[in-house]
Amino acid sequence: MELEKVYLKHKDAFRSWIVSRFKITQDDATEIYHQSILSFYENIIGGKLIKLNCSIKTYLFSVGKNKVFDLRRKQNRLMGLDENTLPKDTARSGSDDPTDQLLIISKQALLLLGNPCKTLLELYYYHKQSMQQIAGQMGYKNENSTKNQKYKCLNKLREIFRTEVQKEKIVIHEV
Amino acid sequence: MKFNNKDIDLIETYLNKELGPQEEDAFETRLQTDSDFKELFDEVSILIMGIQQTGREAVLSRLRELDNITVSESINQYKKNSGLRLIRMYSPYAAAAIVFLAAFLWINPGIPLKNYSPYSYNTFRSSGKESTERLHSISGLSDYQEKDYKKAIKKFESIKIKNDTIWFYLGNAYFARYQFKKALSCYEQKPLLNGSELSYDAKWYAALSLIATKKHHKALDYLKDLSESNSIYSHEAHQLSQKRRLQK
Repeated sequence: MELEKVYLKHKDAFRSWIVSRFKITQDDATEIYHQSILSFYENIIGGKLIKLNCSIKTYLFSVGKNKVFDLRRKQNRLMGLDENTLPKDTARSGSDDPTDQLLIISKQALLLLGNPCKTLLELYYYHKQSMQQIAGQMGYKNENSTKNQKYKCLNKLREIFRTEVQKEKIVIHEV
Repeated sequence: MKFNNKDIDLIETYLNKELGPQEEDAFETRLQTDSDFKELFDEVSILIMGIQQTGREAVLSRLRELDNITVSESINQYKKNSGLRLIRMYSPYAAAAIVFLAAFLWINPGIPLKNYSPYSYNTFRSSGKESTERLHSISGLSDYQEKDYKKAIKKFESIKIKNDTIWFYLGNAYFARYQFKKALSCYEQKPLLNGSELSYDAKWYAALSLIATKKHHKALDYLKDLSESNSIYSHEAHQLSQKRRLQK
């Protein structure tokens, strides 16, 4: 996988640079590198990054720098907040939020759905691959049969999701 | 209730912000007036979000896997370099160091297994045969994620019909508890080794389990297979297969 090659190629240089330049921990540097690589990948598959005007290394370092600033902003915000002064809704645990709960159930439903549907849906909705690419990769006859399979998988996923939601007694349209 | 495929296409186009202004207005009006459509929209939106988050987590998990592999490589490299430096600097002690190293290698054939972390949670699929089995799969997986391997083993073992993923994670749980023979019997399940998307991972951990049980010859077969593959294990499998202790 090309992304893995890119990841390994720049990992050490990125982490050394970011630790020495911003005085952050090795763990934070690793996490920032993961997030930077992920942003790089998602920008490519999402069509936001079509052509690079600099090297991949420069691009990653620039993304990493912004991620450090984001991390610092987040840490500063948290340091300035007193838990007692937080509004009740913000102080609550995230898992009480119905949207969070539904998201967890949707991920569980995907696990229960299993393969090949899980892979097909991930290739389409996350990796943004075309029906033609998915057909080639998963051995479907053509684009149309892949598309039909996608509808079937999504429908099956929806059924599992609904069953799981009913068990949890969450009302979707109130979210 | 089965949905209309055209509605799905329409929802996807809306979510991708690819509708024209008039179509977008019509779409939003329909959301307000057609309760069935609104319900479908809410469900599909959350499902797509879940799929995307799962995909993202899988990529991150893969990157962490790469870290595990490269960390073990650098530890090995460091050991090698520091060993050579010591021999150069302290020649009188070199012989003693070599004897010690030889003894160490005899006990542990150059493969410090503790450097190989058990496989982190990446993707998981249920056998989907029965609802209780599904629950056990998910519950066993949670235990695995929390590194409670004993509990995970109990739950995975209780599943009567195991699919390739359950075999794989059961093997990993045994591996994490240094029960290498049992781990190996899981990794060597035919559906897992042949044609499964986890087959490279299974071969890698099968090779490590074989090394741990001193079955070097068979381990080399797996390592050779992996080094010729296009998997993330190819480089380290090649390096490992070159170790002299394994060649004997």
